[in-house]
Amino acid sequence: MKDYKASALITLALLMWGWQNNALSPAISLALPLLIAQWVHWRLEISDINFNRIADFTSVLFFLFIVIQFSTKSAHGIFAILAALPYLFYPLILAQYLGQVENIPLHSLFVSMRKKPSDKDEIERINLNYPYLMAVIISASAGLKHGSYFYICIAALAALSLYSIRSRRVKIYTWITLLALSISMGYVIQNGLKIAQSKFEIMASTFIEQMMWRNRDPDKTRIAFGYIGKLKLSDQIHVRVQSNETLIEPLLLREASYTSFKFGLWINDDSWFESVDPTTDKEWIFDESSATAGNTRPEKYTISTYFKGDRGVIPLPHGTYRINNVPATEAELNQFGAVNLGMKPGWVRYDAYFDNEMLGAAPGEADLTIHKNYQSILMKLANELDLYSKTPNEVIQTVEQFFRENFSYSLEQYRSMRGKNRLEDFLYHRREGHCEYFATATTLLLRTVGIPTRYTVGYSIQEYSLLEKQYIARARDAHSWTIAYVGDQWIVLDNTPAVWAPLESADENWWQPIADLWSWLGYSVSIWRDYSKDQNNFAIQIMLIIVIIYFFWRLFTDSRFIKIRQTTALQKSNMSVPGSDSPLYKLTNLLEERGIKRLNEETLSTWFLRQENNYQQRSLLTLLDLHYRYRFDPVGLTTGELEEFEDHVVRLLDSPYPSRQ
Amino acid sequence: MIRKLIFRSFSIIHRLSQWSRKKLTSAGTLVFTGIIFSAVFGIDTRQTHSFLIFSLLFSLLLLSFLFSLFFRGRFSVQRDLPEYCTVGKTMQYRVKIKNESDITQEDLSIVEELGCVMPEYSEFLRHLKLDNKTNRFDRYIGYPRWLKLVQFKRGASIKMTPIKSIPAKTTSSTVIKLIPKRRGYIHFKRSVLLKPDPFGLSNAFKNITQANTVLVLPKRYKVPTISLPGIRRYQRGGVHHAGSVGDSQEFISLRDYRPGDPIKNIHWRSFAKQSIPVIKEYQDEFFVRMGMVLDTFIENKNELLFEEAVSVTASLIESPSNNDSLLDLMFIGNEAYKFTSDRGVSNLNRMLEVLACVNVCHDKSFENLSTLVFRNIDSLSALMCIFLGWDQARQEFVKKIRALNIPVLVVVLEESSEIKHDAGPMEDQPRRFHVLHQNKIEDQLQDITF
Repeated sequence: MKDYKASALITLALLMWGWQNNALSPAISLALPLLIAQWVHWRLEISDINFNRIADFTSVLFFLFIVIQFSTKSAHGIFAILAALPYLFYPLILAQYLGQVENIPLHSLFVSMRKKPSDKDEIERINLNYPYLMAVIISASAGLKHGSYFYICIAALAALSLYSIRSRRVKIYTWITLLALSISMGYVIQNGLKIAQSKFEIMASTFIEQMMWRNRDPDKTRIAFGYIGKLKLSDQIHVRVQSNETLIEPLLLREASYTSFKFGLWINDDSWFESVDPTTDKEWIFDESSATAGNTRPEKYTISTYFKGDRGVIPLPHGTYRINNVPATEAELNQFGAVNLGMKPGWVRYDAYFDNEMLGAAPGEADLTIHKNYQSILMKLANELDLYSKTPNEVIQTVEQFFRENFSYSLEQYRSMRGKNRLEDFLYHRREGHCEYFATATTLLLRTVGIPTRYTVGYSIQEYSLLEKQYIARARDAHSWTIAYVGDQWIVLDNTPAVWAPLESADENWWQPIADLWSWLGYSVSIWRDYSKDQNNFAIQIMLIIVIIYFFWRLFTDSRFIKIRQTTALQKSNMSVPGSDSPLYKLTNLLEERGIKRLNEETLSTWFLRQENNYQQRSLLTLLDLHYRYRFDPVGLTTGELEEFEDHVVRLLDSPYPSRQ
Repeated sequence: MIRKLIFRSFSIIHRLSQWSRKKLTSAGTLVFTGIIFSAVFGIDTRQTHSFLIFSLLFSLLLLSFLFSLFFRGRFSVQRDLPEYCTVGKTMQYRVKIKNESDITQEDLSIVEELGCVMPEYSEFLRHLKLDNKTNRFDRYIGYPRWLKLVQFKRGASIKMTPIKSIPAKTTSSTVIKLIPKRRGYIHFKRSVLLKPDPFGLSNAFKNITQANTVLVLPKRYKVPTISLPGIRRYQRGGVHHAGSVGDSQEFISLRDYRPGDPIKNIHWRSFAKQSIPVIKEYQDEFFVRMGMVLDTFIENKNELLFEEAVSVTASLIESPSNNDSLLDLMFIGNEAYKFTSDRGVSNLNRMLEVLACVNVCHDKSFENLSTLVFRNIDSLSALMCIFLGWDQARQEFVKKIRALNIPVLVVVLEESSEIKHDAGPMEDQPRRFHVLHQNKIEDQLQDITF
């Protein structure tokens, strides 16, 4: 029942965990009840059903913790979960220590096993001591402190754990030598792992960089020109927009604009970010003139987006001059209108105020540049469309009409390229493609006739979520369009056919509603955590504590929990034994009191035969017959016999024999 | 197609799992689990120190694995198995292990491996349909149920048993317990001796092939004493039965010899006095002969129901009332079978042996059973029928038997207590018509009367 070694090992592991994770006091609090449980003489009678409940409670706790950690810290949440393992599994190990059995049923841990009807003797049970020890040791590794000392500590714990299970065939010094060899090997392996990781990172960094769609680089973006196959982005929700009014047409949220295009890459050759100071608490103003224009009813959207790292560009409506209610550490603006925020990872929500005056510097030379590879083909097309003879507004209308009438939207490209380059293939042969083709072609075609343009990327907001009561944009809603400088202002041109959004959503997965619900839960928790007032947090924490206390109170006051003293369980038992009120016990008690002790192995008859007085001996043996009948015979004694039995006992009690001893 | 591929992978997974259970001790399994988790958490060496745990555990397990590749020693194993055991009842037997090497062997354990024919795909599918007490994953993939089926076919599972130290050239013995899960033969394939490595994480093992079988008798329930009805019938050539049941070989009178009388019946003393052969005449043998009909046609029902039918049959055969009668057990297996027993424990055991090996019949119909019974009906005093259904064919059968004035006891087994049956041809004798429901059989058997 008592396993001092296991509890001592768990205590040491918990102390190591506390030392590594700066949680020495919690570690001691966790270890103490387990140590004390080894010394106290009472246990709780915890039934298998209650073990199931405790396991369920642990699972719910674990699940909630995972949801909160992943929603607030994304993938980094895994380290918080790792560090919290001793807390999360504690109810189970505590129940095992306080329970009267030294292990718990395996089916408590696996719900699927609970359905199987099985014989009570066949129920598989598991002792959680060493699994918990392993969990605590792995959890301690989350602390990242003193690597060498940590290795020495885990080696010592491993040695202590393995000592008792070592094979008796092996001499102790051989065992120590082998252990030392293993520890040395482990040390070499861990150094090798560190070197291997460094080398792997160098090899993989370029590849990973190309794959990171979410991290928008405000200075360059690669477009999927020449991509063979079906272009399909995920349905993961990236942006949420709250609007007081219903959107009549898709809302375009810009992340960044680019000026130069070559070899499938849009870049900003000369880009610089300027830091913007916050005006008041959590407020940044990017355009003073618009902010002070005295808008009585300023237009605003409340936008939420997800931050993977600690810095990134945010999607904003064209013409945003102020953002508010954003817990950013710093904000930067580049000359092309991209806003870069310094934030902690997770969901960020902000109010974006905007008007028609679009952010961004006046056009420069770069906004009219066309790479030589594309010049001839674009000039040819401009001639064909007779763009050179038209005013800018007419040019825009013609180009729009050209794309509308001659092109279609497609996410698929299975034919190989015809023509000199991808742009030529798109404009003259294939005449179908996705938004990047249309935006790139429009941007470059307008430049051919001297209209300054920029290629712009961001999100097109169209989908309204009934669940969330706000607009959402998924990864597949990422979009690109053109901004053109006409009549001393930047205007938006989106020549991608309007069918693009329904086409993108056609392949929606059947589980999307569930994924959306999960995403919304994570978003809600994250926003609640970061944006709700402190008082609310406090109230919710209090409520959580009350729920946990209520749960344990219910468990411990349940009728199935009976405190028992292990040593005196039989004495405390209230079970009535037939014949336990036999008058003979009065005599036996008296004999014991007088010092004629009954030996452990003695039956009552041999004990009585040890009496010196023959008369008393015979009387006792006669009474013993009656006692056995009263005690064990199903028929028992008649009333008369019982009375006679009692009288005889009284006579013997009154006789001088017992008192003489 | 995919399902079949998955099915084929089951036996590979199973063998791998069996091997890992032998190879790794419980501490070794924990260390292996620790290696997996520390590898997951320690994939980035800059984020956690889990890779340090991984390195240490990996090197420990690697070294222990290398040590477990060597096992010096020669052994022989002998099992003292009982002749019979019963489903669900613990069986104990002794295993003697002889250390034939020159060194003392310590810290050993023994695992007994039972032979099992892996289930066919069709058998697995049939089993899949019948068992519905599983979760969705199990229903789709089916591995837990495949495992359950294999364990059932194997007949029992035996836990690892530690062995005391065995000095050189001596024999040590240990007692092994097992609980048979099904009736029929259990095949002991080999014994595996396990020796842990210095750390106690992995085992070296030595297989010692030693084939034995033990017969598992069906489970029996307590049944009340049943007083058998029906008149005694003349048993042709039944004198050899009379020593055990019915009238004993009772002398009536002497008569003159008639050609064809057996010489053993000549009364030699009278022959000597009268000089003509005189024959002892005995009373013809009349006694009760009970027919027991076991239905082996489960059709779409649960095979466990058939097992219960076998148990009920075994219980009724074992009931005290049958000691004074002959008993004919009739059923259809690969062919039509009829086994006769009379009074005596050895006969009873023979009958239980037969029942231990009876199988479900998939390729014949109830008509075959009916034919078998009517071929033997003349000598039967009464009939007990253990049916797995109460359809038209079975009702017709009972009706025909009753038309011959032979008392019939009908016991119908059903899976669910919700299924009720009209007595049909037994309507006028409801006391002789019983429907027993799975999981309540023992209680319901107490009400059986004839």
